[in-house]
Order: sequence, then C-alpha cells, then structure tokens
Amino acid sequence: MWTNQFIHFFFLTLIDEEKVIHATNEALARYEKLKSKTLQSEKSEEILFIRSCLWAWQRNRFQIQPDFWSWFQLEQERIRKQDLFSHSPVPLEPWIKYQKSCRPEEMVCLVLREILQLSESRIAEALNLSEGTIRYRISHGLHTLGEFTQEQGGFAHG
Amino acid sequence: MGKIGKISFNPNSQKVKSTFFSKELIYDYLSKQLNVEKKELLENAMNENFSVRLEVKRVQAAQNFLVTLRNFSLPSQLSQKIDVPEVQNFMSKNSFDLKALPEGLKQAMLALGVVSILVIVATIIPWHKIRDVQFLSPSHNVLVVEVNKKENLQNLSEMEKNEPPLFADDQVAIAMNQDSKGTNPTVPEIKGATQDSKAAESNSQSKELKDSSGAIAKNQELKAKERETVPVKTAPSEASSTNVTTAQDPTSEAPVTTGFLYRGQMKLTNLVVNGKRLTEKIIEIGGRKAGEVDLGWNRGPQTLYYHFTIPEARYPELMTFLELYGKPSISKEKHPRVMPEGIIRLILTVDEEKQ
Repeated sequence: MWTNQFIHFFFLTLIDEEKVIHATNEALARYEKLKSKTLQSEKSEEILFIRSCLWAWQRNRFQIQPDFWSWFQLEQERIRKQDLFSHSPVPLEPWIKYQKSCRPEEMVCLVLREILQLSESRIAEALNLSEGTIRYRISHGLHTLGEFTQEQGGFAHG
Repeated sequence: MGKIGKISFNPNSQKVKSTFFSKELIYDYLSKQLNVEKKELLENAMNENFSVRLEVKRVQAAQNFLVTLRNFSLPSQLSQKIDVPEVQNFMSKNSFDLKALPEGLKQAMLALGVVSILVIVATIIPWHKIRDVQFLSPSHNVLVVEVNKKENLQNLSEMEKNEPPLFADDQVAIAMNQDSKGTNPTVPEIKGATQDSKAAESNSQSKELKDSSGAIAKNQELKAKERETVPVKTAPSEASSTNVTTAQDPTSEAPVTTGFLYRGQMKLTNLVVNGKRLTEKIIEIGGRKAGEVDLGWNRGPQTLYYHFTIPEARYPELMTFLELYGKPSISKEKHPRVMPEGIIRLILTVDEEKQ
C-alpha cells in the first residue's frame, strides 16, 4: 500500500536511483517493524509511514566520499544520464536545484504535504512539532522553489 | 474605544503592515486559511506593493510545479527492484547491524578497541616483576669499565698531596735551602752535608728522613769499597756504546737485591720557562714525585729540584728531552730502597746557566 509513496518520497528527496531502492527497502522494513509494535489504525499508519520515511532518509542522504567535489560532479552526470529522468514529462532541473540548495527539513515537509498530500496535523504529530512550524517550513520551501521555477519558466499560475 | 483589560485600543485605526509580514501570509492566503482581516490586509498590500505580488506569483508557480510532480509516473523498474525477500531479510536481521554503520564510525570503533586493549595490557600486566625475573644465572653480570688515565693521573696528583712521601728527599737539599742560597750542590758536597746534618737527624720529622740520613751516615765508611759509580755522561753527542749502554739501558742490568738511585745534574738557560717544560715532560712520560716536594721545586732562586719516579722504558725519552736543553750528567747509585720492577727513581738538580 505504501510502497509507491515510499518510492515517490525517496525519489524526490534522494534523486539517485540506487539510493531510492535501498532507502525504500529500509523504509518498508522499518515500517513493518514499527507496525508490528503499535496498534493498527489509519492515523497510526500515516505516522508510521512518515517516521519510516525520515528514518531511512537520514540513513541514506549522506555518503562520504574522498574528493567530494569531483564525486559530486560525477554524480550529477550519472543522475542526468539515468532513465528516471527520461520518463519525466516535467523537467526536473528546478527541483534538483532546489533539492541541492534548500533546507532539508523544509524539503521533507514540502514533499509530505504537497506531493503525498498528507495532513499537516499528521506531519506535526509524526515529527513532534507544532502545526505552525510545519506551515512555516512549507511556506518558506514554496518561496525558495518558486525562485527556481520562475527561472525555468512555464509555471505561472493559470 | 475597546478595552482589553487595562489596555485601550482603537479598532478603527488602520495599522500599516510590513512587506515581510505580508509575505508570511501568502501561503495561508493561497490555502484559504486566512481570516477576513488578514485577507484584506494582504490584498491591499498586493495592490500597493509590487514585491508582494511577485512573491504571490512565485508561490503559485511552485505549487503548480508540485502538482505536476504529484502526477509524475514513476518508472516500473524501480518498483520491480523493490525486493520483498530483501525486505524480509532486512526485518529478520538484528536492528544493530555493524555492516550498515558508516565507514568512519567503524574505523573509529576499531581504533578505540585497539587503544583500550593497549591500555589494559600496559596497566594490568606487572612489567616490573617481569623485568626482575632472571632467566640466566646471576653470575653472568658483566661490568664494562673504561680506565681514563688522565683522570687517574689528576686524581693521583690530588691523592699524592694527602699521602705521605714514598721516599725521602735529600735532607741536605732541604737543609741547604734553608741555610744557604745560590750554591750548587754536587755529590761530594752532598756527602759532606749529610755528615753535618747528623746533628739534625734527631730533629727530623719523618721516619723516612731519619732512615735515609742514617743510611747515608753509615755508608760514609763503606763508600770507597762498596759504592759503584757509573761513568758520568757529559756529552750527548758522544754515543759511546759502553756509556750509553750503562747510562741509558738500566733495564739491561741484572736484578739485584739493592735498589738504585739516579742522580743527575744539568744546567738550563731561561730556567723559569724551560723548568716548566721539563716538569710537564716528566709528567707526560709518567713521572710522579717521589718525595715531599713537588716536581721542579725551587730550591734556590736559580736552582730547581726534581725527585721523581718514572717507568724504566721512558728513561731514554727523558734523556733525549734533556739533551735538547743541555748536557745532563746522571750517575747511578746503589740505594737500599728497592724500587718496583720497571720503575726507577731520579733526583735531578737543574741550575740556571749563565749566558
């Protein structure tokens, strides 16, 4: 049930195909493990999903490599060549630029709310934060993303 | 006017909102979660301020972009690579997996383990007991000692000051120094002086002086018969074999029960400087003072007195040195005192030569 949501979340937050697969596997396992320990309910499933996403995302977001800058450029080339982006009807460059420059916590809240359409209250409860904090992070994330989408053009409201 | 507690306010007053405040309301405005007052404030700000309008457009563009991303269809290869058995294996594993830890953390843990083991080994093991254990027999200790001759000589020189003299100086020489000055004592005069000093024997302080003076007195009667003199060596250029052999080869003589004493006399120019050189040379070849007085003792204003012992092997070297400065005349006398093998005793009197 949550597999596609996991894949969607990690695809937008990690970009890299290998990381997406590995993080999804970890998140699914984590979700099943937590689910077996808590009472089953719709509310709790969303919270477990959010916590599993964050747990796997934290484990896979960093990768220490020697000569970081050369690795970064090679990674960018490899990602551009991946088939994932060839299937995208939408140019993902604004999102990749945003993903590299934004605050991680804002990006996570943005993806959970705007992409996966989870409620702000569930997100706040899963992250142990207030709703106002979640709304602030989403608002700031939209402001930052809007700068890159305006550069790209073609996303004016209408 | 309305009141909230003790604070009075005018609800009809129009408060000016800043651009920053307006921008913070944009997301709530677009998600239709603003109340009426704030909505009007934002709309007024949009009408009045271009940056607010621009910011609204940016947020709307971002939201439209995210809507397209929401409808983004993921490639099937991704979902196929989500391996269910792998997920099950992941679940069955222990939550703490060492291999899953970052590489840096693994190396840090390894280093910490090595350091802790070394610390335990260094603190627990009794190294001092292991060091004291003697695997070999205790008699196998070897001491390596290096003898420093120079230091020994220096130490000896200090010790000699405290030790009593081995041999008596010429009592006559001391007495003559006290009585007269400027005279050059010769062997016959010394003999005569020894006869006259019999009265002073009872007043002598050391036993060795008494013994020597008594021996000299006893020998006066037997000198013509028992004394054996060696031909005087006057010219160093005359290298006569008999004289040289008898005067320079003391080692060739057969060991006798009685000892020998070498008496010598010579004249030196520039007594002050050459006297010091002679003293240094005697010390250099291993000479040590044999009497109470030091080497080169000023017996008179123009006389230096040397009573010393040297190794027999260094005697030719001494003679060679003396011949550089003058004509030494040395005679070998019998003496009741027997020197150790390889050592000879000399009494040398050096006078200043008038140029």
